[in-house]
Amino acid sequence: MQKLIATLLFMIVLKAGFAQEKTIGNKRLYIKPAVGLNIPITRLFSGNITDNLLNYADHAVIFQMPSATYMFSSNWGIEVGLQLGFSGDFQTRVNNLNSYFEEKYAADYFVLPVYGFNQQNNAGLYNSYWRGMFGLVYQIEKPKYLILSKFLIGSTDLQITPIRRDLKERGTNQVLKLSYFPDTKRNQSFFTLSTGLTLGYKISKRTWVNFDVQYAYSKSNFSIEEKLRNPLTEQTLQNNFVYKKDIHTLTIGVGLIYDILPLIY
Amino acid sequence: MSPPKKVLLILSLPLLLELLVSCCSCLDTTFLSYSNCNLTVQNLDNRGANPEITQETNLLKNAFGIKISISRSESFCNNKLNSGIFIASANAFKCDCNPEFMYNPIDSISSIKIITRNDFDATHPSGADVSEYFFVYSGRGYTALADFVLRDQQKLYSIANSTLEFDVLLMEPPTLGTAHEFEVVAELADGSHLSNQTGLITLN
Repeated sequence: MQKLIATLLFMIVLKAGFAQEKTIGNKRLYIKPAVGLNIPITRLFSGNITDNLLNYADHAVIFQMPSATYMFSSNWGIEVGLQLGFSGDFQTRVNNLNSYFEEKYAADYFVLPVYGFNQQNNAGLYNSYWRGMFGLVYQIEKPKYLILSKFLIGSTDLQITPIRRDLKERGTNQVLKLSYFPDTKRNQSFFTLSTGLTLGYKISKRTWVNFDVQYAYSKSNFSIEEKLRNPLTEQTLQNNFVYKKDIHTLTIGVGLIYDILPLIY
Repeated sequence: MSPPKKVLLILSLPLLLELLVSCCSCLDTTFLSYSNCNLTVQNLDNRGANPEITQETNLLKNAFGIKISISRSESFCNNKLNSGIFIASANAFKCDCNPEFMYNPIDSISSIKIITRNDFDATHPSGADVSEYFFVYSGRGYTALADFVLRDQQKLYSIANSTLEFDVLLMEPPTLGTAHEFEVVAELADGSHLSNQTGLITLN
């Protein structure tokens, strides 16, 4: 999805650069770096230990990565953008996992890392997710203000980090294999719909500072399987943590809007 | 192409040629032979996170294991290994060359058995084969002793540090008595065998 959005972004800039008439007229090409906060209305997380395996956070700092809006008329345009969400609590997640394993198993077992697999403190636990969106924008431009309302579609992409541990029973030769794996794939993409409003205050000829409110809806549908396997008898205890959720979020952000079309043309 | 790039390309040609030549000069594999010479055993205490060699004779029956070591020698036993200071030759490993040396056993191990010297349980009196109760733990899982020996453990690519070492863990503890002694017997293809005993231990 990120590749598609990046391609669209490139095409918009290309189109804006080459398909111009002699005069720019009402056309605009806005580049909009921004930073914001993701505020969950409903949450993906359920409070299970498996939440720590998701490279996602219900409360996240959002960075608007290269985002472009091409206004092909005085009112209408198209927008393509990428958002990078940081949860910022990597060490907390690692600590949560280690504490959970210790509390649950340490009385009877030594909790051992599996050689060659997340050996060093779950190094595979990344800490960001992507949201790629594109769609229509309606603009109202006043001498000092700019109002952009938009309707976007796209996807929210996150990764699930699988975890394995060996549980060596104290005082015996028995080892159990503990694992947490996604039921389908490690990279999950959720179809996402979004609408939002951007209010810009003009500070120079081509620059606005803006306040942005964006609502997004996405639907997740995956599960993480917890397996405790005895490799000698092949007996397995399995528990599924299901993440079938309707996720509603509100993102509030501030940033800059810069019209780069005169620079390209 | 601009003149500076041409110069750079010409200057780098010898290096590229050398790389190609070195990659393509695989040596033929030299086939040698080795013998299994000696078998030693040590008791393992696996009550902790990992099995440890112990001199204790009073051990937990659920956490008992045996470290088996079989030393090998080039050609026949008692041959001293000629280990040079310098490497005789070297292949480029990234070129998918076959191994430079391949050692095949003169007397391959056909089986390893663990015999109990005391009554073990109702079906295994003194002198019975209890190998089925011992497993090799490799990290991925438990492997039956018979499967482990017959797998790839007999191929050798270097005679240096060629001692075959592995831990066998007792996964079914004895139900009769506490004093036990085990004999490990490696049967070789030529009919001979190597063996050693754990010594008398108390398994509680």
